[in-house]
Amino acid sequence: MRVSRVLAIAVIAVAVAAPLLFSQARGAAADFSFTRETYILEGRFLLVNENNVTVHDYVYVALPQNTTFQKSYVLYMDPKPIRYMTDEDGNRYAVVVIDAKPREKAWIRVRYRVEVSGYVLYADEAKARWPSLDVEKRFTRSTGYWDVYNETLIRLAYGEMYADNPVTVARNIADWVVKRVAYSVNMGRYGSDHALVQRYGYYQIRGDCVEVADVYVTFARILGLPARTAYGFLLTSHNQKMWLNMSTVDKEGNALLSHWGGHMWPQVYIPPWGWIDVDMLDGMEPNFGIYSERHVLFGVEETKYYGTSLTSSCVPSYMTLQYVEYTFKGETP
Amino acid sequence: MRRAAALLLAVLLLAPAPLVAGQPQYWIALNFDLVFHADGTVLVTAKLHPFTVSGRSLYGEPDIEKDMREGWQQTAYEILLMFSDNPKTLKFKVVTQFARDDEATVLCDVAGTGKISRFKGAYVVKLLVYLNTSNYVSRYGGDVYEVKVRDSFTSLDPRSWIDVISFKFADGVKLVKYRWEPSFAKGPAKKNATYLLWINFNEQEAPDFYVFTLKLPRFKYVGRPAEIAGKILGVEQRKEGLAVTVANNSTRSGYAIVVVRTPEGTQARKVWLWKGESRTLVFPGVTRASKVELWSGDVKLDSQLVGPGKPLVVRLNGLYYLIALLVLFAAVFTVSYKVGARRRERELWVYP
Repeated sequence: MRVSRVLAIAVIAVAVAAPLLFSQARGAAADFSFTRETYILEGRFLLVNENNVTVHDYVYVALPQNTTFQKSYVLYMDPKPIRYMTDEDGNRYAVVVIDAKPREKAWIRVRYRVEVSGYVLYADEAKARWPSLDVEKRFTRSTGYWDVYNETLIRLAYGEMYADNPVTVARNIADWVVKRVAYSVNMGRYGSDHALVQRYGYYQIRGDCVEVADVYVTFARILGLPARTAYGFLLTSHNQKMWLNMSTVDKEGNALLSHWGGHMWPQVYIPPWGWIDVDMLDGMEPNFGIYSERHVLFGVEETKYYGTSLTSSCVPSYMTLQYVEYTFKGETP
Repeated sequence: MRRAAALLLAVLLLAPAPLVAGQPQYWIALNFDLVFHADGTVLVTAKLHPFTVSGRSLYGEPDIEKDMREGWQQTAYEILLMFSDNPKTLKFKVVTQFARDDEATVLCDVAGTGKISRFKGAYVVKLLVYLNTSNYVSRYGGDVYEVKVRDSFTSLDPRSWIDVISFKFADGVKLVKYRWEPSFAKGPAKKNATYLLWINFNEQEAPDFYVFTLKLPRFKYVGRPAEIAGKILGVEQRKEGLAVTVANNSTRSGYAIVVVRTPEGTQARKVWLWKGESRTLVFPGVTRASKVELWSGDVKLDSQLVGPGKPLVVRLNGLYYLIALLVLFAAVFTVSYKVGARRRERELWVYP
């Protein structure tokens, strides 16, 4: 009789404590809802030796990354990489060696498995915090493309986007930026100083996803919100083929968008959630904390003064990249 | 070695035009000489030589010389990026903006075949860099410092690297030790107490960082300088958080960072302050701060201890809550068991 009473008390105690324990374990993750998709991603890159000597070429291949919202596996790469490396911003990439005679062509073929968790973040402003000092210093610096000392941008940021709460800051910037996008494919990188222009008395962001991301990151950093750019692909469906012919690409203009989905978007760091995506060009909405499973992330730019050439899929040293192709096969149609 | 116009290669997103026709198809051999001085300055001499992969020198070709002369600032930035993440924070002097040196020799493995070629003649850019504000310098104690030198070319573009780099430690600088990153890269081809020379045949063999421990007897490290002078005007507890009012009382505009240290952790926010401006920032969720600080660069401008304020609300997380319940349960169980035992004893005693 006494033993059963003790057991009953223990069961009640655990029942009282369990929900609390469970909610703690979930922590900030409870604020997300997810949509998951797994892709088999096949890529091939055509390289040609346009030099009249044989070359021993190191080729650098960007890889899909591992993050909280993405798990990536290299299933196959031919030629086999001699090494996997990590750059200063923590991005993994592969190094492949190709020996090529004059005018010889070579293919690099890759196959990856990528599991993406798209999400919607229900960001309660009461939970938001500013970051630690180290994070604040590292991710609010000025760089060549994110000039946080541009006084025009500073006046705009503090005049039109300032707030006390980091979530409100991130939303204010997204609202401001998305209304001013004058999209056109850009063959270089203006940086925020030159991407934001005044036309007919109104501000416009000229350029493509890169410029939109650069302007967003610059405003965020000006307002003390840690920010960086993420790069990779934005698909229009779960099954898609993308390609680029490098010899004609500069003549295509916006027609490029019909067969290529290379993409860049900003991320901001807000505790307790960590890095939050803000892809305003996915449907031309502010999209703070709304990240579709149609994104495949290949890397981030955090501290490098001039960004990184790893935003390219394949970077040969001596040879010339002629053709790039990716085929995404999702598990759901 | 780097491919000409490498900076244009930065993007293959929706701007995939790096290798289109019209881009100059030549490479530049990169040889660097660095001389460290006891006062913490480094004289950097960049010797550049353009060539084709077939090994033909393009030194003296008018169009290419014009390109490179116009691009001297890019080379200067690349030199500064060897010593800092941000060239704007470094003090430097241009010693030679751009000059031809027909007698200089530049070394390079032209086509990655493992053979070094010698090119005669170099375009020279020379800078004197002051390390006292570099964020690649750490003080070990006394006059001993760790100085990192980055291969800024690799950092920007993985296929680029410095072909040859020499380090000379002059007039009272003592090289205590050195290493390089990554560890699989090759070490120096020549080394003695005052001189190190790396000859890098390819990017994989070239270090990304050269790291030295140096005695610099006349060096005074200051870190990143303050952009403004300022102070904390007040700290106030509000419903939405802790409000901190700061002021820039200097004649310059710039950034400061407000740091709020609490028992629960630290929050920091960078803020732009125009000259003479004061601004109030709110740190959400802070109910009891212990210290508020104002920083600019690596300089602490002001700090304030914050009084007890609101009493700390003790929030037990789930694990502690469970432990507390179990302890309570154990206590109740022990007490009831002892009472029961005494009763049993009594019962046994009454009814033997």
